[in-house]
Amino acid sequence: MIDKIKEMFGDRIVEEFSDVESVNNYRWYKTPQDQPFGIRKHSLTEYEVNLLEIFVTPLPAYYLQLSTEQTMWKQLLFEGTQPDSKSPLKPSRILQFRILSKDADQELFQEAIENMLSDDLIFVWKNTYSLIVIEPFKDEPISAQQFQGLMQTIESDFFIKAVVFIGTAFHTFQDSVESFEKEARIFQSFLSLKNINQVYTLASSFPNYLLSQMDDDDYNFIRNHIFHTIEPELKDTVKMLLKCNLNYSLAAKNLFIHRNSLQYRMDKFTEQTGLDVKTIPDAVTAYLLLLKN
Amino acid sequence: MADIRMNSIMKKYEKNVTAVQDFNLDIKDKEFIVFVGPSGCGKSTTLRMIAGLEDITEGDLFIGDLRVNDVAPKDRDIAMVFQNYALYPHMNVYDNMAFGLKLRKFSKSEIETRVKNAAKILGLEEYLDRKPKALSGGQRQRVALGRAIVRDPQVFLMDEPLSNLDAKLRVQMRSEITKLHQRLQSTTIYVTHDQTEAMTMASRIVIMKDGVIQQVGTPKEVYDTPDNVFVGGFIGSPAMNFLTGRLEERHLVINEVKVLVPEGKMKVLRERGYVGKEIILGIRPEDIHDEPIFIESSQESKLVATIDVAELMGAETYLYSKIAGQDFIARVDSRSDIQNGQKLELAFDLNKCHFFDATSEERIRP
Repeated sequence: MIDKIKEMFGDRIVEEFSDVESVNNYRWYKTPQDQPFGIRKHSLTEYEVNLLEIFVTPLPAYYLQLSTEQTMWKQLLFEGTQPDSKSPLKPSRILQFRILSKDADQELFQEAIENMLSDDLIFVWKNTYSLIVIEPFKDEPISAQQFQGLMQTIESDFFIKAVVFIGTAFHTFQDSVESFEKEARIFQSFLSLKNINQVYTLASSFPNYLLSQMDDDDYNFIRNHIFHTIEPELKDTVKMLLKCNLNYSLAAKNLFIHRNSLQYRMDKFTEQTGLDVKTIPDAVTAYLLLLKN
Repeated sequence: MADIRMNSIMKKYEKNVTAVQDFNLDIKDKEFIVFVGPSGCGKSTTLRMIAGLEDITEGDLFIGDLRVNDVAPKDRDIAMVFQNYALYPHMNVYDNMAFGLKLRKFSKSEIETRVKNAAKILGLEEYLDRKPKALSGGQRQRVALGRAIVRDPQVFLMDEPLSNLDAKLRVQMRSEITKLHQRLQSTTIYVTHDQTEAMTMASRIVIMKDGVIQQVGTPKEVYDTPDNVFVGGFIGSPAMNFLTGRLEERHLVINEVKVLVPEGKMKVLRERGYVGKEIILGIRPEDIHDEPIFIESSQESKLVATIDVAELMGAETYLYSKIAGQDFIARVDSRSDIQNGQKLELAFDLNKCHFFDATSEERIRP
């Protein structure tokens, strides 16, 4: 739909509201596919407005009317404008939420996040599916594991898929921009994954990010070379053993096999691949090769 | 409430990774169905396909008479309770339960009626003003259930909702969910990797492995007549013992140990052409006996075993031993005082044993 609207309205249309000027001078809508767009107010006739509103939905005020702090953060993160404020920044972290489904109610989504975390958050919607939250740092910040539960709660309330990247703490505006840009790039590299996790942190995303930067041909060359003759059953066995942090008893229990059978399979794995997962370097190699497999 | 029909459901990820294949199941209205299987068997993926949170690659899913493959999750009239459930820490119990209804634009009076009704069912009436941190683990779990109940859905979907609770609370909540189901009479699909939960809660169990249904049946059916070695080993704790041996005209020979096969079972094995071939004997730990009276009447299935470990569990003792180099566990009455390393006469109740094909691992049936 957005392409047709662009055809009709030409250069009168913008798709990102990047500054206060674009908020005030444009009339903002979203398509049924949740794509936001704005059309220059003074260029629209009443007839066009009435016609448009049959097919698209006006964006709610909360989405457009930004507080001074929201405007400052929006300008800082997306336009690179340093704030005039001389007051020191409270140590904070940036949470990047991405809604992966259609039909989410953004206003209630924001309310849910507020009730998950605290009431001193700053919300900046980049578009109708990307929400940036600046969270002042606390003595006991919510952990990635707690986020996992909260994201599942949101999933069961909204019936949508949503993911979050929990950023690292920063103390200056300059740091915040640097961290945000890097974290956004890392987060973006996971969004096309089919088996996407619900919660990412810098640490948990590292192995996947590392692999995403690697040339597919090189990766396949190494994997095919090492796993050339390996039986599929052995891959599942090693995956489970690594998942159980090399606890043989637990892995055997989860695989419904005797501990001795697990030991036998691991001996076969070492024989076929040359990797002994009891050593850290070989365990890392096996982990990375199985992560993408 | 509603029936659910799943016809040839398949879930495939990119690069031909198949998570679920040829999944066929009819769930009747008001049933409590449990999907059980090891980690990665596809049970949660199947549940999420029913919820609409995962696309169905192939096949048809019906809730009631409606094909819902392309119906948005929020329009499927279902409610979910997840494994790592959490409550909104800054909302009180009332608001936590009301939030899903607010999202669905229910009127304030309707929300109040539903929340109070659910609170009454769950015994949470006096906690409605409390924040989650002021609740016990069990109360929090009840609120999580309440958040689903207020929606009065056609189907409840629960994905390992008790797995984060300690053992004692898990047992307590297990019976609370069962009672709740009896009261609400709602179609419920419950996912767990815990076979005890499956056995105690389900009207029917669906056992899965590698994305494929292994068996569907009542708890008693899957326990008494497992369709294959996997089901036999998965359902029951301690697990069923499996001993591989060669079938002779009247006996199963496990290395040098010979046990007499009852004629009824032998007839089936003979007719199916297994004489002279390797087969797998499955026997549950409780069907291995140490009582002198039983041993006396079972001379042809008797053996003398050295007990490697005797674990006193209270009313019963687990005996770990070997027969012809193959491990087995016996579950005997704790009145027997048995020490590690002791030599002991045991007898198999072969009328209760199971036979499986050594290659396909499928149950050998008449």
